[in-house]
Amino acid sequence: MRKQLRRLSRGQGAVEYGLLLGLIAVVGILAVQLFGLSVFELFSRVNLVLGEGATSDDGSRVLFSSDFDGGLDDWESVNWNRRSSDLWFTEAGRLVADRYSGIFLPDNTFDDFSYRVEDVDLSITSNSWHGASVFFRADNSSRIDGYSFRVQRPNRNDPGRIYFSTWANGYQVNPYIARVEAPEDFDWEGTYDLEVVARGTTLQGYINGELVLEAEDDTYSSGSVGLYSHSGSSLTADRIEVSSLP
Amino acid sequence: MSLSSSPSFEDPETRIQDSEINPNNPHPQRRLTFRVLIGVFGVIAVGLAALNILGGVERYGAVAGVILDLNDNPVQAEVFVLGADNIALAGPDGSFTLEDVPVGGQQLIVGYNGIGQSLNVSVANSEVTQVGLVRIDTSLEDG
Repeated sequence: MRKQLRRLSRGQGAVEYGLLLGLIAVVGILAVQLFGLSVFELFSRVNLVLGEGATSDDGSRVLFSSDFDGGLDDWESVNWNRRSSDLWFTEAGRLVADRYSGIFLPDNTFDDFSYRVEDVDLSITSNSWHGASVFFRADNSSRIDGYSFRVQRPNRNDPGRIYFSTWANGYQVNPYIARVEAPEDFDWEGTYDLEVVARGTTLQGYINGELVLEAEDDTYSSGSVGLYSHSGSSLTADRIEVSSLP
Repeated sequence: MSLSSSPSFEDPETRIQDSEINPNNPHPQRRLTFRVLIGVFGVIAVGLAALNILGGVERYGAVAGVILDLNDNPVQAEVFVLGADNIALAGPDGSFTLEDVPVGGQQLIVGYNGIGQSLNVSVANSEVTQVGLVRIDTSLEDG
């Protein structure tokens, strides 16, 4: 009895403290994995919460922004239908993306967010597809997986259209998630702000702050962002911002 | 234990000797509690690990068919399912077999000329699901 009491009275060693803490960590990681949130995503979310951006009055935070004054070192080319060009650059503080060219922001993961492209100017360069696509919750710039919010100028016999599309392995999946004709009074010659709000499975598209398209889809829950100019058009934009949702 | 039968400083036979009390750990039961906690967390960790392993075991089948255009000409298109990495390229006769497809309802995508045309398939475990002739509109284009 005395021997046992003496042995018990030695107290906890560093090994026991370490073992207990290690087991608690292992249990936490395994539980997170089992219940559907990967450790990488969890760390990414924590990083986003602790990362850049001040909270605005409505509770949203800027997660990423670029006014293109510092060049395009953070971006890489988008490959569309096995074609890509590096015809994107900055000029006078604006992004310029010529036909068949687009930019993609690698190494970033956003899940629920607002992605706004400001002061877009879309001009026709040839008799082909005249449009701008905003990629979001996207991955793999060489063979895009993700969503696009697309604004298509009137083309041949088609009216102007607005789409939400799914992308998989670089293919735009048909049928589209949702497609509507652009408002008749849409000023294609002017400049406009494009914005996507992705909240859970709800996707919303805005032009100049007005909701123009809404859809539900659960294919992709997170990813990065990009911007693409279609084959018959050239676009410029002044600023890009990704914000958390209030 | 009643007060009268508790250890007493007056009774050297029943009292706990001062030399047996560690001044740094006056509560020796903590060590036992620690070991119990370690055991409990160890059991939980093993259980969760087993659930992760069992939950991570996916079952797979295959999908086979022939891709034709609207004039019944074979098309060498790429075939894959949404959300999976594996891609099959149809042969000159349009036939394809896509392997390692997760079981259950899947969205099969036939990719050609930048457009992915989709159809729903149900994949059975360790079986080749035949989708027969898949006709796609090769005039669709985008860019």
